[in-house]
Amino acid sequence: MKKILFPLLSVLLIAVVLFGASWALRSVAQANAQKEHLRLLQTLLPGSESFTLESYTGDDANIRSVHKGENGFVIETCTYGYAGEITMLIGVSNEGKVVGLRVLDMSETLGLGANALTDYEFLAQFLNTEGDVAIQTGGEDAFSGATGTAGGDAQTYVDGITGATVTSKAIARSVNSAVAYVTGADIDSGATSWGG
Amino acid sequence: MKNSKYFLITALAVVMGIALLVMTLVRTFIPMAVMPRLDIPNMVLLSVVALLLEHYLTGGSKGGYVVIFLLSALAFGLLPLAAFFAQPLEALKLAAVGGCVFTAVAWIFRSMQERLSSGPVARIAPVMGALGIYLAAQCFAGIL
Repeated sequence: MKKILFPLLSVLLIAVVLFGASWALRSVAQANAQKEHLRLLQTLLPGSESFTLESYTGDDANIRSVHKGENGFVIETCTYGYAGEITMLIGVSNEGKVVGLRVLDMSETLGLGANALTDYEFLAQFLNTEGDVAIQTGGEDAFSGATGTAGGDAQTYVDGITGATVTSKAIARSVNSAVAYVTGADIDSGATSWGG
Repeated sequence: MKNSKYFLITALAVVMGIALLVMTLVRTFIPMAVMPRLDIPNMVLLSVVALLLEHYLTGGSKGGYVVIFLLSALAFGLLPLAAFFAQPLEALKLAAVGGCVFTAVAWIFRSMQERLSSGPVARIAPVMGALGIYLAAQCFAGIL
């Protein structure tokens, strides 16, 4: 029993220290999070200064929340990648063009899918797209930025991240869902289903 | 520290405490940073770091897996809850999964060390074994 007491006390002591630190920093964390969130929304949708949170009642399970700005929307999406949920913020102008995007949260494989966080070359391919994105995989003849048709729907092809096709497709699904919300496109159409 | 049979749990608590404290500071001052989740690969990572600490500081220990399961479950459930990284229900789930993961990793790691405990390779073998376990955990999480 004595042997168990020391490790048990060490767990409890560290829990108390963590609770104290988190409690003391809670108000600072909340204030910083609000400030940083607004700054991020403004970055993703240039030209908008203030945002209102709109409730989403549609059928698209990929959409979590919608922030309405003066010249468009910033949409929070959540799709499943290779190792769990990928949460993103996507700025879409009133004309239905993607003007900014950022991955907020993910737990993809280090060195592969996790590269989507910082692979700006990959993410930049989605800018100015209009909800018709499909991921270009190695076996297809199309090239990045090319357009084509698949199942009767127009497609813009982007290069996926090497070794992370599932992650790339999840991001494409997010982008297509966000644009479909703004343009009112059918979420079951090729615009969203083909992206994944 | 030679005879502390459950030093492993103290090592786990310290490793988790440091990781959660760093995450608390990041959450406070860089709120939009992407934080690692306490999923199976990261649980394995914390576990192997604790096992390496135990191995190099005390020379390792044997047995006691029931106590190891119970105390590691407590650590994986209570510490994220205390740092506001998990709600009570989620903490229960973390405790159950964390306890199983930690006990399994401890058993695998110790079994590997018993078989690699002679010759010059014995010094680096724990680190290489830990790395192998972590990489295998990433593959396992992908399969799940």
